[in-house]
Amino acid sequence: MRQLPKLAAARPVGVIAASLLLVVGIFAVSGYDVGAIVAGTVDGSVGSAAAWTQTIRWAIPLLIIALGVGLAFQAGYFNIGAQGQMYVGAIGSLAVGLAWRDGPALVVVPCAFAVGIALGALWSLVPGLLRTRLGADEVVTSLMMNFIAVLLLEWVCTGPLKSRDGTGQAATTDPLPAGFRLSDGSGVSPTLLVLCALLVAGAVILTGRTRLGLEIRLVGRNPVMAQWMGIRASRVGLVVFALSGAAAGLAGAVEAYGPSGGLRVGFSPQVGFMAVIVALVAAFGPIRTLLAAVFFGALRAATIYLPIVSDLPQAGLDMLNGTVALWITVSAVPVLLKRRRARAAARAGDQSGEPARRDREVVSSRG
Amino acid sequence: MVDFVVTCLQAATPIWLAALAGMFAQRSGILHLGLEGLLLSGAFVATATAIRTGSILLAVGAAIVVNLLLSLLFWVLVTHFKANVLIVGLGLSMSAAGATGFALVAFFDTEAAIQSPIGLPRPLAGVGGPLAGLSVLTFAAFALTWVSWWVIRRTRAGLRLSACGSDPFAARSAGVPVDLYRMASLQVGGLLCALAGAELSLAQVRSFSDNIAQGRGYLAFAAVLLGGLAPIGVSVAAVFFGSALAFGIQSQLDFNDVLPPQFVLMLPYAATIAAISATVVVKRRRGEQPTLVMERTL
Amino acid sequence: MQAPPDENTEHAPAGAPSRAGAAVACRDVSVRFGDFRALDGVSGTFPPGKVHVIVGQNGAGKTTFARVLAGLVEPSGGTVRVGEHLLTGGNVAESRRQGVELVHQHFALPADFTVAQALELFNDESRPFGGFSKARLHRRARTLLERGGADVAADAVIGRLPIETMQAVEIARALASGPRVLILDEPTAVLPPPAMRGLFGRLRELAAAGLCVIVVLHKLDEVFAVADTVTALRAGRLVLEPTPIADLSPAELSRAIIGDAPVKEVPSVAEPAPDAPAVLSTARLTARSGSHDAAATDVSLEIRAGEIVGVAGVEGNGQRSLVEALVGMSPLRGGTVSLGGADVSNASVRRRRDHGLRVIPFERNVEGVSLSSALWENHAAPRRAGDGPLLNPRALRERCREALDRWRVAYRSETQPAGNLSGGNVQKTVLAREITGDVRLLIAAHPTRGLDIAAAGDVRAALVDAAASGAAVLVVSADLEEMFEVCHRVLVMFAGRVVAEFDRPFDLDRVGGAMVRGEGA
Repeated sequence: MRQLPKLAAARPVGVIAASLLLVVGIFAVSGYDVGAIVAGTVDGSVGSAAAWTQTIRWAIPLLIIALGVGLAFQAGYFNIGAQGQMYVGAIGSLAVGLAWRDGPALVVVPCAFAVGIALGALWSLVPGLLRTRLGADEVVTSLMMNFIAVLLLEWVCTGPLKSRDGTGQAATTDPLPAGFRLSDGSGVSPTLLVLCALLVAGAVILTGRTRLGLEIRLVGRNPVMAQWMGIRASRVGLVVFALSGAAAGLAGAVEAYGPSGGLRVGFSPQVGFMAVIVALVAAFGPIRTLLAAVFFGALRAATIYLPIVSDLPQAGLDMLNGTVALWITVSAVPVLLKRRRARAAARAGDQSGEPARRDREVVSSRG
Repeated sequence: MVDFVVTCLQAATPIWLAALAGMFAQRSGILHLGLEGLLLSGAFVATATAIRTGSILLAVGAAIVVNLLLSLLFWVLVTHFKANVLIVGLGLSMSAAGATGFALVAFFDTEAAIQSPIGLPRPLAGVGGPLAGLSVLTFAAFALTWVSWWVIRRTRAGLRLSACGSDPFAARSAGVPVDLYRMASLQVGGLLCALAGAELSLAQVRSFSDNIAQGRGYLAFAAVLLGGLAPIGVSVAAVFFGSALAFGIQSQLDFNDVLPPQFVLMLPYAATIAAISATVVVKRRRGEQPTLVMERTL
Repeated sequence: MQAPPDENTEHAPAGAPSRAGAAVACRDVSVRFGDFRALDGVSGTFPPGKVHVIVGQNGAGKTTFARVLAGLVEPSGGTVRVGEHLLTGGNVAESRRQGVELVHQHFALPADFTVAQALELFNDESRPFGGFSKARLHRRARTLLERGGADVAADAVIGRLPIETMQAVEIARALASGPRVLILDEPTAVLPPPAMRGLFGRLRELAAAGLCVIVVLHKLDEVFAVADTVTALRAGRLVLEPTPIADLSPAELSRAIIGDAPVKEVPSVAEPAPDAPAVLSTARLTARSGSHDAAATDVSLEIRAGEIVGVAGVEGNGQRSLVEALVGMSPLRGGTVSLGGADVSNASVRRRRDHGLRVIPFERNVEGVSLSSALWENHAAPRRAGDGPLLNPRALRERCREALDRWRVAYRSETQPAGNLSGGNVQKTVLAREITGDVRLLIAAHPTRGLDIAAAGDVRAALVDAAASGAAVLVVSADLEEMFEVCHRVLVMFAGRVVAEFDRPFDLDRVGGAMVRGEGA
């Protein structure tokens, strides 16, 4: 029992290290100056105060979304629609701010955030309701909702909220009044840091010290049993869909009122999927999520910095995220020499014991 | 009208072929979210090889080889390393997007597009008429759909493949090497995605640009579910998605002011959600348990 | 029944193989799953032409042994011979080529296949890409089904078949390839007594025709009903070599199976107080039908405090539907349920639990516990009176430890996953959670299914104790003897309706008759 946490910590670190080596190897083979790239990565992520600012600026949305997504995953719902939920949250909050330009910031901003959070939750509840009420698979529906949100953002940025000044070509919205902003363009401010601290603390309490946290875990592991015990699996499901959507919506509002001060087509691409990886790397622990979010935030910061100092394209470090995703859920390492035994063990894994096949945790027969 | 049908078929072919790939994978019990990545890698390798060698056969061949290797990696990760299928699929798609974007710069020193001097053959180009613009792979898609139908519905291999997905224990009890069947179906999928990628970059535009697939792989994934894993159904769904794409692009040109094109482009996604929900409701009515895409443990 | 292997298939009954049977010989077969020794040096020879029974408690390694023979599990040591052929081990195709077919307890038939497709899946005679027409598929299926004695349409979908029919299809598919060795894993678990007799007759015929028939069982009366030889396993070890049944007494066999473990005496059942109030009463309750189950229809029953009422019936006659309706897992279509005087017809599971309802569900590993969750999380799953939205993990763990200790569950730590425990201990964790001071109505569905004799005794004693301390108890079981032992009254369900009610002393034939014919005496 005691070895488990150690293993759980070793795996993500090992996976990340291996992925780093692999990607750097690819750079070396492609004829890039590896030394310069490594130095640039460090410089761009933790090498200076400005670099740290960039790292934290990108860690914030990852953290907020990953905390929410982790809840959904724990409950066994594979909600991968965070990107879309973030977009609608951003759109909603921005619309409030732009419509009510002259209002007092202390009233407008909370209202705008409430709208953004609510829209994110609603966007997430579409797959949530379809799943819990009808049984329609949320992997597909939440993915589809992402694409719809991307197009919605495109329409908003080129249509109703399109910036009135500028060339008319730029697909961006009007900027928010400076008084509404929670941070400057750097995306880091005491307000946002406090917000993140509160969210992490809330997540710690939710998972460890509330009945809801326990019910989320039970529903995720065995919804049938949960229902026999009087836990309404579908209601818990709706709650986690709403919470994860709300978190993503909040991340969108933070983006609009923080670093961006407005929106443009396809902003922060891949953040939704990266947050999924962050949640998985962290194995849903709130503190671990914080650490993982900072790490991937640092990578993101480096990704943006690197093209400036070397001629490495941005896509170069994007490979790294994908590579980490490829390996992060690996849960068995077959040793080639012991292949026969590994195979036997793998088979034993799903067939040992007496009733064998029907006693695995039933996740599919959820109503 | 015929022209529009041709446009739809052209837009649909990559999705169609990729959807057949996804169907084989899912019938064997593997959910394939890596279709997008395989489309991208197929498209890039095909275009790059076409530019370097000037041979369309080598181009398609190279794309197939690379995709077979990637599919092998997918298989090893999922079966031997017991990694989560969905995450590996997404990871494959993300890596491929990053890697093709990187390779574009590393090999061709451009972040824009690379042009291929050659394209896929058009069998009816000599005959002329509205069908002249269709590439050989569009015709191949029809044939491959029929072949898929035959394999799945009319051969023992197809039955075994389906058993691997719907009841692996039963398949094993019948002596079916489940993992090998999964590998075979992923390899078939890799091949089909290589063709899909080649069609995407070498059929009409004859160029590869960063992220050229633009979510078509995910549309193919949705088409697999929408079509209920049946070869004909999957193909119809894929053609529908392709048509919606074509129509969205068309509407952008035709009546931009009346209806924003984004809303047309949303259509296939919304339709997928509606159709999946409807399927589940119908199954409920018939008293069946709705089957989810997978049993998941994270 | 000691007939020598009969090579002349003309005398064979319907469904007999076309090949002669083969002996199975094992030497030192061991199977290890990690640290756990599922089988440890098992040797024995099973000649053809006989019915060989393998017995043992839960976790004794019976199923693993059957799967080693079928090639589904690779032994970590030892050899298995089928006839003259030495199996390489862990290769289903090889075992099947040698004529070994295994009928699984829960069947190996994909639910979304048609019967014809499922039969074809197991056809390994021809090339994988040899195409077939639908007509040919169905023709072959009809032949095999007829030969195997299964009365079912070739295009019926497996998932919608009643469980008995599924078993018939499974046996038909096992006989399809003309096996030399037929293994059945707990075939009686899903069958009502009459169908069981039919199955046993069938197995004896097959053995008489020269087949080597190996049956995994765990009830003694069934063993004596069908066996030519008996082999007993305990904790993965061979404790009784294949021995002719005539040389054994039930007591000897029982000792071999359970060893020296004490069997708890079930306390005698006290009559409930004459003025005890009704705890559960239903009026014309009509529920939804579940899978493989008739809908409970027009059920009116009353259980008083301290009373134990059994529901007997052939599986699939509405017992599950009734229990799910009583627990609140599925909405009523008609009628009412009241619990302790309160109408709970439309109440949620949680509300009913607040009224003192406790449940031991049908399938403990799926419905009773979450195998991958920690024991304390399982224990804390149902909300108890006074639980708020916040919880204190330390207190909950303490509460769990106390309860598990009281029920003498063998566990290491309350943080270990429930899946680490044996079947009997899992069931005891369910009891420890469900039978607490405030239980008013206990619904126990198949409470001892699959448990060994010692654990089953503990569970029955717990039911009787719960009633003695004032709870109303409803027992659904397929084991009539168990119900006769603990129940005050037994109701018989048939096609969703309660068709008969019996009081002590119970008469096996009358209850059995009502179960089969669907009419009361």
